[in-house]
Amino acid sequence: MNKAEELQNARLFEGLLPEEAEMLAELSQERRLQARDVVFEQGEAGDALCLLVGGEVEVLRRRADGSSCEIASLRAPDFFGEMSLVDKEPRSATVRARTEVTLLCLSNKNLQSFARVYKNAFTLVVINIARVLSARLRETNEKLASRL
Amino acid sequence: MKALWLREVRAILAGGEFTGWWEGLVEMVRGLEEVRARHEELLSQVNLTSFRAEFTQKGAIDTLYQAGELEDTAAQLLAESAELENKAYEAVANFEGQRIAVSELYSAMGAAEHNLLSAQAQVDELRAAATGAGEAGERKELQPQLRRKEEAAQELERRFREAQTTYERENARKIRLWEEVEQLWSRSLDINLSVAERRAKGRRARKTAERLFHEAERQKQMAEGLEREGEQARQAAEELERRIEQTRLTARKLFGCLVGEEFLYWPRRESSKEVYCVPVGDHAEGYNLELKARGVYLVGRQRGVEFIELLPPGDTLPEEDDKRIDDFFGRGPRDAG
Repeated sequence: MNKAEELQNARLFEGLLPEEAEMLAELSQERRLQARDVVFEQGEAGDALCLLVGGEVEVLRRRADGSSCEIASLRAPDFFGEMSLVDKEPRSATVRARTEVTLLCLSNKNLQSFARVYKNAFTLVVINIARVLSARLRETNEKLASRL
Repeated sequence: MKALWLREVRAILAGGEFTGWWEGLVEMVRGLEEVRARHEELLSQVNLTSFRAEFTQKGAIDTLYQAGELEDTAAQLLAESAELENKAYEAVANFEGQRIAVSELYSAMGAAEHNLLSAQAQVDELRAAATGAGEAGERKELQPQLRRKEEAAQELERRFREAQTTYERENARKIRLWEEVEQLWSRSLDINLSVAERRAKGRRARKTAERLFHEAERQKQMAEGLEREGEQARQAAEELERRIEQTRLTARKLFGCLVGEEFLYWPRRESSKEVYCVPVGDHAEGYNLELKARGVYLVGRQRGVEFIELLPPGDTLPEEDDKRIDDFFGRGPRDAG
């Protein structure tokens, strides 16, 4: 797998220069999971964001009664785990592999290394995260408005 | 320990001496992995073969025990058969006595029948004479004679019936005695055949036990051989570990570095807080980065490889020339998403 290419195809890393993508590729770690393997659990401390390179995952949220409901499903080149990066709060949902999955994971510490070297590129990544979060918020607002 | 510039570290890594040292080390590490794998494989084979030997030996003992049981049972049955044979001889003797007695009764019954038939013939003759006599005086003279003969014939008939009843009763007893003889012979035969079968099974079990004992012995020897091979592999691994350690330690003298278990370190001349770190082997997991053998990375003096950083790139775009952020803020509302 060419990790730099995979990263450049993702919306999260839109606008990065090749050498920046190369460095991120070196800083990222590949993770392979089987269907039904859990990537992380709701409530865990979040220390990395993950880019889906192959396969599909489901995002599950625990209800008050302890049962779970699916709130989203993601496919390559979607990413997840970015919220904990921004707000430092525990994971807001559980992410579980629906199929065989390949991920590229970037730890917060490695992103910090990246930020020290490529400040502007890191700013772009943060802007991209903000754009995605903003888009999700807009979508949620629309859903909420249609129900009220 | 002298601090080095990055170019100096790179020069060391690119040099023939380092390449030779590293290739030798990698060769030995690979050899060690193979020897360790061989040692583990041999250990598992030793365990498996020893277990098989024990299992086979247990099977041999059990089979030998079964052979003994079969032989004991055969001996018991043989004794039972001998007892039945004796009983059968007695029964044959009883039968023979009865057969003679019945034969005599048969003769007596025949004689009684003969006497009866003679008497009845005489009665018939007298009766015919009396009927044919012309004068009354002659007939009167024959009548008492006829009555006596008739009474004698009746007595003979009673005796004949009695003889017949006795014969039939004793003959039935004779038949029962013969049936008893046959039953005894049949049981004796059955047991004799069973004895033969059990003896044959016992012999076979004994042979199987012997074969299993030999097999267990062969497996024990095989396990011992494997154990010796395993010991040799263990010693070879120890020797390789010693040589790897020696080779690793020579790096300090040859390249002026600090030698860790999996890394070589050079203090960084460009920054006194940092150290250059070079992994000896590839590490896909276990560190915050995927590490490549002979790659140059940076670590802090305090944290060491707990957090490894990539080297800063040589040529980066000066920040003032990077317009991407300005472009983002300069875009129209739709472009900004």
